[in-house]
Amino acid sequence: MRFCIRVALPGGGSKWKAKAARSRLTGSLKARREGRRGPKKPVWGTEVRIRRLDERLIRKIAAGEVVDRPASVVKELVENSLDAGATQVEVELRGGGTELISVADDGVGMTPEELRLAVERHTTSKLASEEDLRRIRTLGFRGEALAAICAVARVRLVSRPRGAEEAHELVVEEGKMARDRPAARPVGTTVEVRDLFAGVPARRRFLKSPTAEARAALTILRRLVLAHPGVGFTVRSEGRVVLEAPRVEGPLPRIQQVYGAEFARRLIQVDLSEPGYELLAFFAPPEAARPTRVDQHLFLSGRPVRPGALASPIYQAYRRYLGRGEHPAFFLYLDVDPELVDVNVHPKKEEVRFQAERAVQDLLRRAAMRALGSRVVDLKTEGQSPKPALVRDAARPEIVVSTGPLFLSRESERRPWRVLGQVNRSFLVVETEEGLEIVDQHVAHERVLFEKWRDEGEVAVQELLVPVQVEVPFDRAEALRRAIPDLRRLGVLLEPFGDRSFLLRGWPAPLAGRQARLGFLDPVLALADQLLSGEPPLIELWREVACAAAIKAGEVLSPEEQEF
Amino acid sequence: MEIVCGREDLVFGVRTASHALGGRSSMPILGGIRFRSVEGGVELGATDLERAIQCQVPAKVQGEGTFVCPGQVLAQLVTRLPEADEVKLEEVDGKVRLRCGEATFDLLTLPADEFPELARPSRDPLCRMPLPALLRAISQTAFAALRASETTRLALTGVDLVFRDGAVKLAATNGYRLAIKRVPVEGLPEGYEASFLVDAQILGDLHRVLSAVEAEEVQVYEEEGQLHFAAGPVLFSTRLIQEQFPDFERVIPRDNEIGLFLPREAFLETLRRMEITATEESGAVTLKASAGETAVEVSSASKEKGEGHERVRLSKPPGKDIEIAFKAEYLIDALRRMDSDQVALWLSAPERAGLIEPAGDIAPGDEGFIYVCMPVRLI
Repeated sequence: MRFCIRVALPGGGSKWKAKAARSRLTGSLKARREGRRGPKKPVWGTEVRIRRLDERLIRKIAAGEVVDRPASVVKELVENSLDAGATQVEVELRGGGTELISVADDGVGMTPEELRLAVERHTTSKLASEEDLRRIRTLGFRGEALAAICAVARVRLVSRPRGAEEAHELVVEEGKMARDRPAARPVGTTVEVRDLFAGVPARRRFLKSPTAEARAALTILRRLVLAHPGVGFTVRSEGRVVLEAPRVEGPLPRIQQVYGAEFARRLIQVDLSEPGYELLAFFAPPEAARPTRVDQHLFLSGRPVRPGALASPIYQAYRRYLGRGEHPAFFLYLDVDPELVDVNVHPKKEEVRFQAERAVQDLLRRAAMRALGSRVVDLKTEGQSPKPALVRDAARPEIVVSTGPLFLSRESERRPWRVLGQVNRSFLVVETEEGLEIVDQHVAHERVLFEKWRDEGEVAVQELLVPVQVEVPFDRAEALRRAIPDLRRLGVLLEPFGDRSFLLRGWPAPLAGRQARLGFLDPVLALADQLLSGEPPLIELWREVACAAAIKAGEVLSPEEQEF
Repeated sequence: MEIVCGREDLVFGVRTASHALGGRSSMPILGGIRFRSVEGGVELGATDLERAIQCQVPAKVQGEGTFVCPGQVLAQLVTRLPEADEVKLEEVDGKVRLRCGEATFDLLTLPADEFPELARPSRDPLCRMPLPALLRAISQTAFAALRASETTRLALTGVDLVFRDGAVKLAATNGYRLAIKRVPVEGLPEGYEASFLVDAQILGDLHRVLSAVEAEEVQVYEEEGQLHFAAGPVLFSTRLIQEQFPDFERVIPRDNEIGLFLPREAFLETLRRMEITATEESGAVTLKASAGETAVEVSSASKEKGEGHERVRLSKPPGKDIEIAFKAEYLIDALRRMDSDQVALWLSAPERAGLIEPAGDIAPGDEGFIYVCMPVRLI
């Protein structure tokens, strides 16, 4: 049980014993981690002589740092396109990117000489001196990517620079130039990467299924697409258009293109600027919290990076509103003076180092509080005082003591426990034979529902009069599409309706009345997230629906409901 | 301003207006009832910005003016006023002195200039209809709407009022069932067609308010994004929900060929019994009918409680076999709001919508009522 903190009250004593229990989720993650095979031990004993590696081998080894799966190839190529000033980028994936990754743009293009140089290691147009390394404004800069990709795949490059009469084509196979000739193409560059890792079986073996690889690539693309609203993107996977996002002005319309209008409408915008820092942030309200961190985005001067420790002040601000296992969703567009940040600390540039990390954390904390504070002001009409979140937090917890029945009913006499009251509208205080127990009402209700369902073999589905259209981000649409049979077994009747829309035709009958408060989108998205973050067993899905249906923190319960 | 009015008239006016009092609002003025001198009496008004109620009370008024009294206090007070024929209200030193029999109250007032402007229709009514017909139509539809204050499907929390072809159609749905009522109206312009979405709870309040009004007829006005209902001394105004209501005509099954003609009361009682043994959360009851047989078997079962079976007589045998399950509550909701001795349940397949309509000797109150319900399926 994960929801109970037991406070034992032995006669006269006052020792507080808190028992932290481990969640089912943690358990399964751990098992998964342990189940993974460790690295193979080197076989010693054979005669080993030190020798210089040949150039091709060096390239293949080095390639691994930048290019480890199709998703990273997609990232490098799209970043190149963006650095080339493209306004339209078209991406195509086949076989999850292992058969083909094609990225075409309308950027500045390259001359034949530049093309030839581009496929060599450490060549780049973006950096000329050590001085430049300290003020990086482009996405790529080390000049590794193309060379690395050429070392492990068949690559065809076609490019035409502005002002040139014609394009030039280059084909590199196994690191060798196989073709070098003029070709036809409008201004811009196309890079086609075929048979990725065909010559590196060790790498190939570690690739997951094409669908899993495609999903990873789409997730990376989602971050890039969100980071660059001014660039139009078309993404095809296995011949189908999965994203069509024409260029737009500003992040909000782009978030809408990716997440749908319903979600974008609920976001709270915050603008903050300080010397050296410029922040445009969009926070989802706590009701739109997610079961994973996939919707936490930080874009540093157009570069998607992992929020990492920078997110912790945001969690602090949300803490009052979120339940366990819930994560805030946010989109942070942070422009930083390049002097104040080092992006060259991670081979994939996913992490960055700030000179003054505290200052950035402080900026984000204030932004999150402002977002949540504005919410409280919005609630003003419902009789709440417009205080910022933390002031409320510091105030005394709100305790609702149930005025119990004058005489205990027979039933409650039989029960070994009694609900004393509700604290902060989130926790129930229960008196048991052993002492006091504090129960998280959300998790408790979730468990009650879940156990009820698990025990009943068949699922009753309430059909919908008018199917409800739900829209999900494009990279999750695929996961959701594959989850349709599993969802059906839960009583969620879903059918595809366009690229990232689905029609909901039926809903678990036990939840028919309860979904009203939450809508359908959140529970369905939660399921999609579960599937994205590692194909959980069916039982986890059950829990997810139960959780979505369960009473959320913040509802005042009548004494009857508290005992439910 | 000094007002002298009948005690019962004041009680009626305050009760009526208090249906529009703003609750715990950040705008204290919305918790007040405004008294305003009008020709032949005084007008009591209240609004929570979602709805507004104005009620005219006959009174002898000396001088002109306006004051706003705290509504909750006044509403409590009028229920306990001592017996007397008349009540006198006068403004004294920024307070309102209320005298009734031997009792005197000096009530604090709210700043009258802060009270919002309440709209009054200036044009001719859109249409008129008998008041009982409107009340019946609301009680047969509003219940079917989605009950939630914070929903992602705001449109379903409303009742759609569609005016066309000499009638108004009220429709409400929670996504699983749909109730429709058609009421003929008078005076609707030829070729007029418009629909307005009104919050179901507000419509419920309209029902409560107008039930207490002695009037034959209600006039409906549409102006500046509001609907106004005028009956007798009362004008009830409501804001409209700016959302698209689903195209309900499209989901009414028109070609269900299996007709089960059931005695309404008996069927309703059976469903209430079977609901007890149904699974608590889904509440599904199964109906099973066979071609040529003049009874339908109603049953329910749950792992926790056991099962129940009951046969209900049909007035004529259906042409085909059918086995279908519904949430009992949804069927009961409709059946108990009807008066006719029989109902017809039209079905086609276990996963398709069922249609309920009055049958046999159709009661006048059931004219124009249909109800669509989606089944529950076991997977």
